[in-house]
Amino acid sequence: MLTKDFTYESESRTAYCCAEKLMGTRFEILLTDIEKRAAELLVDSILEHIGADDSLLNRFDPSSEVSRLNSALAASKRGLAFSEQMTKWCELAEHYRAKTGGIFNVRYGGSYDFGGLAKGAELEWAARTLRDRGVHNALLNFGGSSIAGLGRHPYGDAWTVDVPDPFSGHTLCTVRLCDSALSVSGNTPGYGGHIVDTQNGERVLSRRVVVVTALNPADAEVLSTALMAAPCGRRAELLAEFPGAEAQFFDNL
Amino acid sequence: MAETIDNGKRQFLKELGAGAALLAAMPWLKACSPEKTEAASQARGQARVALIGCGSRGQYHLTILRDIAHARVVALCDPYEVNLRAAAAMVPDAKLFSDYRSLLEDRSIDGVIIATPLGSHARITVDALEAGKHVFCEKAMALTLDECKAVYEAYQRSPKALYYCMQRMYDPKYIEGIRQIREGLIGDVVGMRCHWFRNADWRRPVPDPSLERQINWRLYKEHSAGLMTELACHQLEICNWAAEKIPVEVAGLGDIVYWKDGREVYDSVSLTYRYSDGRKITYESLISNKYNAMEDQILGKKGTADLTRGVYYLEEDDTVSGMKQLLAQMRDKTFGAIPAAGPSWRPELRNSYTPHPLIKGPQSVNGGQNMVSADHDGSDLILSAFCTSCITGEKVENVVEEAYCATVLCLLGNLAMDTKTVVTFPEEYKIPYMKF
Repeated sequence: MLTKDFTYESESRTAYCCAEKLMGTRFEILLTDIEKRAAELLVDSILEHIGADDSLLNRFDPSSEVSRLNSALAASKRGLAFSEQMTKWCELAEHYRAKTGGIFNVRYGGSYDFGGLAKGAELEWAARTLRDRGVHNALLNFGGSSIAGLGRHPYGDAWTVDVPDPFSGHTLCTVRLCDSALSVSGNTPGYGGHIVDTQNGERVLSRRVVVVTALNPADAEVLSTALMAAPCGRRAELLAEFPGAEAQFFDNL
Repeated sequence: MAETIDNGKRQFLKELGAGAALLAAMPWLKACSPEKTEAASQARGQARVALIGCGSRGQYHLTILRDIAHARVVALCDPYEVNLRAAAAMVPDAKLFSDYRSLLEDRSIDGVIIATPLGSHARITVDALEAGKHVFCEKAMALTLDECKAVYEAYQRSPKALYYCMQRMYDPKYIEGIRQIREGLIGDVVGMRCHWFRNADWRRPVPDPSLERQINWRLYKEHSAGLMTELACHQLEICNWAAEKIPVEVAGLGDIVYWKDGREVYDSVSLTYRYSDGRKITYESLISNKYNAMEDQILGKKGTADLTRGVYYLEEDDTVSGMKQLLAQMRDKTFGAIPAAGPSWRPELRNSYTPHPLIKGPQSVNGGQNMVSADHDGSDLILSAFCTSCITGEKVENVVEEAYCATVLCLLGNLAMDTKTVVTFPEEYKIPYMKF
């Protein structure tokens, strides 16, 4: 059951909703200049959509399709049947695998993990849905590491986000988002080695943070993960595959 | 100036919103009613009190008593002439005594304030109660388990009031913190972690070597039970409030690590107290490093309360999201960055926890370094309540029981360290107030 906290402030016509434990983290959405009822309906439909994908892709739920797929792979079963949605996710993952020369790969060590890709793709979908419904200013946030900004802050010309050094808490950089997305990858003091260099199988353990902005949230997500794992020599080549994307590297924190 | 403390009491009870539920759980607060004090004082005048023990702590009490309108210090007692003269300079009209037994014979005295070394607490308290005096005594209750029992029993027989200066019982951040913990603020209480670190030798200058044991009484076992009764006593009490029980056993190790100056009491202690349900108090005190200062942490399934600082932290904290700060910006029509982004939000990093205040408005926090007192630590409220009892004759509820429980636990901790054994709470020292 999804825990949801919806707040509407009528004076500023701002809606905020926070849902815990979606795609393994917290999902937050802020919509400005919107009526309460419209905001509620939109937020509900977005949460429902992401929730459905989460139950498909959640590796920690043994009944999810990805868990069944991973168990079948572990048992070396052949001829696996993929659902239509799962096929789409696999196609998207393959698209990015090819685009990054194999560095970004959701399949590693005999199992699938769509975690990072899913957050980016959901933000992309949600941003598109909001625009289609006439919402021009919004901020969407997956756990602080994947953020999409539509339009701008009502009192600024963009949305601005400070990226902290996970080791000291100091601000590494401030990012402006205006119809663009941010993805931050890195190791933190309590959570290191979760990104694996799929080329050599080694966990990325360096105290590094990569900050990527791109027009498309899924691109930002894939690129930040790939740049975290890639050797320095391949950074330029990877970036060239994502026109308009920008990356900042904070090595040796 | 005379009204400062009564106004303080009014403010204190108001801030706590001292309703029936709070007073039922912490009935000693009833004695803090300023209305009760006013009525008693108008009917029967001031409380005539005497100070026994005129050292630094005693003199600190005299400074407080000057501001309590319904108190009059009529006598002072100390066998050490230097301290007696210093106190007499503060209260020139007071009668002077060198022997407390002579003072107790003075029928004009309603109550006595005992600020002597721990080793004499029990004897003077019992004698004073038997002499028909109301008693206010510094914590801890007594130096030995048997003395604690003797005081407890003397109090049961006596119609007089007995107060102990257990300041946390009157400190708003502790009272309010415990109230909120019992209402589920941090979920189920699963453990306690307390420490008190200082970097000082605990010594006072001695004008003549023959006075070493009297002046530096805290260092010698004939007068003192060391860090446990001087410091841990306050903290163990709070743990028991949070657990709503008394521990059933204790293990620990004590040593003299740094101050090898002839002292007999430990300068380093580490203990574990265990409740019947397995919850534990981890207690540590060291007086050759002060980095960690003093903390009374109540650990809950959903969060942690650090009562010393009057704050709590939540394990899953949804109140501090940068996005929520954006909402505030919209309200204030301001623009700023949100501090939310970073690699993979992880709630379990200690340095990412955000403190939330337990009480509104400014609060005083004692860093634990002062030996004599801290401003607004509750001593003034206890003394004021005691002076009210001296006028009304009313006993105060639960204070003796609380002091007994805390002191006995300290002494059992020392026993565990001295014998290097796990000490089970002895049957003979249990009282009906205790729940195990």
